[in-house]
Amino acid sequence: MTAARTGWALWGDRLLLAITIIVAALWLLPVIWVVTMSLKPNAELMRSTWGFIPYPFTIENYTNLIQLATVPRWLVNSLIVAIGMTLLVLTVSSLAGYAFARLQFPFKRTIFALMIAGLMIPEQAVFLPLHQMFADWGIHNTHAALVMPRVAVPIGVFLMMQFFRAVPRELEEAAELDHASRFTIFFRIMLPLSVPALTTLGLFTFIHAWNDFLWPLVSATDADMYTVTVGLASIQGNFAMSEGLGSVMASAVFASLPIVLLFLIFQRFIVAGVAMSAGK
Amino acid sequence: MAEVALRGVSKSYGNVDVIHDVSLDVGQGEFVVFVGPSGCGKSTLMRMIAGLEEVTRGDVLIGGERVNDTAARDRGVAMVFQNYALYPHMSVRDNMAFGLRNIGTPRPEIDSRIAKAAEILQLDRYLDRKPRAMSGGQRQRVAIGRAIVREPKVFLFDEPLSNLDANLRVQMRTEIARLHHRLDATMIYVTHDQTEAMTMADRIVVLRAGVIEQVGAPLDLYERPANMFVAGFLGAPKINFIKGRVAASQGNEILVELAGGTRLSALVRPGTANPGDAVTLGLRPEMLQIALDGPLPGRVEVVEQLGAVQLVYATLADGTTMVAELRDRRPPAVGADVRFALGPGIRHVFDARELSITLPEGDHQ
Repeated sequence: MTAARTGWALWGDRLLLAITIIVAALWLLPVIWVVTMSLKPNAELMRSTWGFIPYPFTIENYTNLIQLATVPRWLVNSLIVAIGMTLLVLTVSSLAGYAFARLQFPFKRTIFALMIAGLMIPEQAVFLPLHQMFADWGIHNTHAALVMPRVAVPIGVFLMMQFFRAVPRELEEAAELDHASRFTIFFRIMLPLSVPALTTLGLFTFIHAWNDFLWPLVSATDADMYTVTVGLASIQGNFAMSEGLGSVMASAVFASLPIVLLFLIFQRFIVAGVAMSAGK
Repeated sequence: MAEVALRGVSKSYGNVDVIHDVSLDVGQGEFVVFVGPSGCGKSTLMRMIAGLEEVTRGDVLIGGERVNDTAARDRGVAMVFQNYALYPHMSVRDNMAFGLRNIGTPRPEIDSRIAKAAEILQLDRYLDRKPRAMSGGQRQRVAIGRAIVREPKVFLFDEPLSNLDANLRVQMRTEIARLHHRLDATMIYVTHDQTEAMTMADRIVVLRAGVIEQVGAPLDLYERPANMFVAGFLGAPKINFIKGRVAASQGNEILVELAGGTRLSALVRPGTANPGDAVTLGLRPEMLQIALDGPLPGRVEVVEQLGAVQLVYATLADGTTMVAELRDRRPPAVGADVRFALGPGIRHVFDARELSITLPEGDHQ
């Protein structure tokens, strides 16, 4: 039982709560507005876009969207890219993070400095050479082209390195005395221990990959290779004119759904992950 | 079980030498304790035996074989770490089985070894628990169990009780001693706690700044310390050191004059102290008594009542603080002027280089 708070402390709590509610509302209202509009008939929206209650109600905007032949294809593309990128980022980051945290090898400090320097280069700065390189290889309009440029993530390597560094060295020494090879130590001890860090990194990577727009826009020029974000953007202009605002909003909700689901399922890890990257 | 030998072992980190030319033999089935203050190199020495640190110079031998270039996992040693180093994501059973699985031990053999270790350590009920669901003492038992199932040639304990509370430490101390008798295993134990060293060891190795100061049975070191460091490190409360000067000497006997003018006699090895030499007397607290005609005057500063004994802290005329362990339910009051008498027992004498020049007991006339 906690003692009841009184006086100024109580008013302080109430004020804090009020501010929190206002901030939450500011964030939430546009989202609710978008969802509401997506559930209204386009004809109704021609008259007024205001209101937070979807009345008259319709799911026509969603059915229209799903009936569009290319949408499922874009969804699959997004899933392949996001899952592929997530798996590869986790593999590269955990291996490299472990190497930086625990192994001794020539030029370790230089390589680490170079990797960290990668954090400072805006991705747009390398778009032209990257695009040219992929064009030379002839791999634009493939899933590989969408995944590869995002596999080496300095912040991921850094996050995993910090995590592995925090694992007591004695644990590895105990494993060494228990006849474990370096690989056994990595796969049987370190990786299972790093599940929370891997989950966080995986979630952020997946979300980033799902929302990614600029590179897929540049690399995937064939409509069959569009990801959801690029695909929906490509039809939004037409939609807004031919079908109306409701359809545009439905496509936005539709594209966000997987991410919202991920957030709901894994929010515990996301909060822990933010705390972890801030606390170190 | 195997014996361990160190031959001129040194360890350097860059230009910094942390272990200097250490040679030592640990017999088969012996319980040897490395003791010394923080940073004396005791853990480093143990880690070199384990194979977790490279040896800069000299040789480490286990069971007569040179193991300098043998990987830690192939040395046949098991180590219990200060922070237990249990694998947090594995159950107690899996923690114990991990090492055996890695060398392909058959399943029934693993099960029987775990069952045996669990019985010895009373862990039977906890085999399916994760370490985080256990208390510090239980975790330490699991760590010991993990070492036992490996049936190693040598057990290494690196300050295993430091993270436990005082009561549990005493209990685990007894358990480890009992385990040693039961397994009859070669055990090397590192601690900074002189009580653990005194109570558990067959032999104690006292280390300071990477050098062995003295090796011997606990009571030998207590009664015949080679120097002031060993005398000061072993024994609680600590031995009292009182500076003085040799006023006269005749044969084995010297007369030491203390700062306040008090003169005390002591026996030293012939020719080790001449009139005028600076010496330090070592007086164990339990040797001191309070008597009206005692030669050492002092003023009582603090009295600690421990029930069976009382610790009386007093300041001597020259400002030296001294502690006496009395068995008197009515100790003197704080602020009282008292006189300390030296009861029967060994009076330690150290020369200006802090080495003992005390006449060995058997040579007393």
